[in-house]
Amino acid sequence: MIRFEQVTKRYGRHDAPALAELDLTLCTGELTVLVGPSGCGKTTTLRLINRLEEASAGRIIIDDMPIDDLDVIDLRRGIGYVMQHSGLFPHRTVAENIAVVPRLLGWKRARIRARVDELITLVGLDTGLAGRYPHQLSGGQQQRVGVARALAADPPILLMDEPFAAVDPIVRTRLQDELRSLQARLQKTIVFVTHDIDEAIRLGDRIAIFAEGGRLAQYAPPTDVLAAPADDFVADFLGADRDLKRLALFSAADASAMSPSPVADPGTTDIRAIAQAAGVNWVFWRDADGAPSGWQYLDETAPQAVGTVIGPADSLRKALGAILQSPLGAVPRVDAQGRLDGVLDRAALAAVLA
Amino acid sequence: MSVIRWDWVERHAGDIAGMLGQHVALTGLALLCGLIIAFPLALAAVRWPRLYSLSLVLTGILFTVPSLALFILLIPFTGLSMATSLIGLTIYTLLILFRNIVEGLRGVPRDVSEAARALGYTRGRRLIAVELPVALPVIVAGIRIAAVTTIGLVTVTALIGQGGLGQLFISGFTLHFTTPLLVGFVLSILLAVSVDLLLAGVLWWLTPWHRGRSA
Amino acid sequence: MKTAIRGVMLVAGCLFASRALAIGLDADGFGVVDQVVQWFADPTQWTGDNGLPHRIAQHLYYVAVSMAVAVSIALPVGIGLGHWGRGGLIAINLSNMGRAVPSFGLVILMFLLVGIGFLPVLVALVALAIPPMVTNSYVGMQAVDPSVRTAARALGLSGWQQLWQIELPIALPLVMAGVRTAAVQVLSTATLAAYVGLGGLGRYLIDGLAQQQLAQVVGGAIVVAVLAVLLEIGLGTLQKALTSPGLAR
Repeated sequence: MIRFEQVTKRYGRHDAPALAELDLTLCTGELTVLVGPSGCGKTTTLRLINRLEEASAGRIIIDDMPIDDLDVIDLRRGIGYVMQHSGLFPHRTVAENIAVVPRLLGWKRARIRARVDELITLVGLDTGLAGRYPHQLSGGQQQRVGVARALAADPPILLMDEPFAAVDPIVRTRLQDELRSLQARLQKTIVFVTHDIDEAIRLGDRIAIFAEGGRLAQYAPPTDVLAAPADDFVADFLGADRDLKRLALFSAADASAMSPSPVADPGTTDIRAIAQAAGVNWVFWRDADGAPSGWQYLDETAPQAVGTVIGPADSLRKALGAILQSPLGAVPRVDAQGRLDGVLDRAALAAVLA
Repeated sequence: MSVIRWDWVERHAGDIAGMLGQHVALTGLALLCGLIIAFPLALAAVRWPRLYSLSLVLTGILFTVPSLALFILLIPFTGLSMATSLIGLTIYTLLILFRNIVEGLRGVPRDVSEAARALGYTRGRRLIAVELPVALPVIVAGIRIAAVTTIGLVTVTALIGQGGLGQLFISGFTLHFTTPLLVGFVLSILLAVSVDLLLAGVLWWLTPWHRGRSA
Repeated sequence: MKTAIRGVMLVAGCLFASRALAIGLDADGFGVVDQVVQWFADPTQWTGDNGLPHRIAQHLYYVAVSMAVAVSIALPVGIGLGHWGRGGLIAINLSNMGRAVPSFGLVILMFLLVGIGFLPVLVALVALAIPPMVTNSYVGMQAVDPSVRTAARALGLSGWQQLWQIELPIALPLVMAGVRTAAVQVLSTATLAAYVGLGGLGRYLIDGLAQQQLAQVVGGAIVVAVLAVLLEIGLGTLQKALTSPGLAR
């Protein structure tokens, strides 16, 4: 647990504070994203944790230990740090870069070598790259090495300062996915700084939104932030497509289907009754196994191809896209076994957001 | 004993002015010759990259040859003459100027010369209207270094019978008398500093688009 | 290695060309070349206090001592200023200012102020060698990417570890470039020091000029030139060996 108590940071004595009386508790094993416009104090907050910056007032406590009581070098060796421009040492190979902290800690050579190999694989790099120098790597590869270097001595805390800001969007998305699966395995306490709200929502267990002048505007899980922005600043920062972002965080299983859903099983003769009960003029057909097999307007004689089917793990954002494309304004949802268990329409999604 | 005897300076003011004049003349001529030769060479080196790397090695090595040795190696060809000094000095200015002109032209951002090409400049006009002005700061930096270096080197040619203010060093040494030495020493430094500042001013005047930017 | 071979070929080529030129130009020139060859071939040239080995050793000794003193002053200053980012204006302009000082005049000035011997020359040579090394090491240290410095700090390297393990190795090519410039300049100026009575290879040049013995003058000049080129190539090779391949662009 990392606790900020009334932490203030001023650069010049008479300057406005970069961070003002921050109270914030970051939970162990969670990925917390600090997000906000530039100059809002998010990076300062991050750098206070490993004392790259010193607080002007207040204190920071890691696991009941005020960090000012620790030796700064020991503190830093126990905290991983990844930065935007990888900050790799250009005169050292990939393996040597990763080995920096273990070497400082005096590990045995064999142990270091084993750890380096393990980490290179862990971050999704080819072990053949171990002998390369940083300038021989792509931007994405450099960031992976940066992450491996930060993880080298297995620190419980990982600080990441806009680590994916300088890589192209496709690589960024892949790195974000990898970070999520890495975190699912490692359960580190990660503090992640970004100015990209989408990245924050994608990655964060909790997000802390900072406003100009180092004010913490809101601190909550992304779903809560999107559902109930604390103030106009947060609402603005989330953007006009806030509801769309929220939908992305829900899975299809979270939504309640139309009730009743207009679904007909094999052998049904009176589809009109089923449709009218649901207040529509069409039905979905289910086959003998329960899988969706097609749909049919009441005044037509033959069913049409089923089109897009939404699985239980698909996001509601995907469901919305399918609903907008469907002539019916609705999509069939299946359960984990592929059985049609309901029909989603706009009202079903709206109910989730309400 | 005072370090400087002003009465000696007054009595020899005419001679000193003459030496200063020779110093300036030698420096100016060497710079001019160096520029005239370095320019086409640099253009060629920019055109043909292989020539560039070869010439870098060549000029680098030639530049390490001590000045006195270089002057002396010219004596069999040109004797103890003004030509010897001038050729030696020109070789040094040439080396500095060549490197800087090439660096300057190679440093022209690719998109700038591409844009000039796209706008329909011919090769020659592109060089004069676009590339040279952009490269000017680096080229002038080279001229400044060459000028200051040459002003120092001119004094060495006193050992082979020329030398401008360097002759004052020789008199100081032979007479064991600090006054001429200091006069030559200080004048040489002042000359170098003023030429350096003058060239910096010329550059400032020539490149209005750079003003207001921090150096 | 490639540079070394090129350098040797170049020197050989220059010598050959100068001989060919001399022959082509006039009978006098031919005479000089012949005299110089004889001067080198003379067995007495290779022994005794005025022999080539002794003169070369003397010359290298002056260079080595001056450089040792200058390096131990200039590098800590330049590296320190660069590391802490102080005094940049002076550090950057020092080599320009140094260039404006006529080395020949400085040697004679020191001789007149301090007297005969190695000491005045040493002072002059050290004074000349310091500026380029301070400037280059300062620039080299300043050129270290700030994100690399931050990374070193964040990983928990102590101040000294940052300096020794990260910043210095990265700044090394520029630091060494300053050392090369200074060393070649010292070797060159040490030649002039013969004028105020010092030994070394400059004796051949100065004495030869005074006694109008062209063979000795040209012979000495050739040796000095070759020595300078070898020193430059040697230091260049050393620099390459010391620089991490990761820094090669």
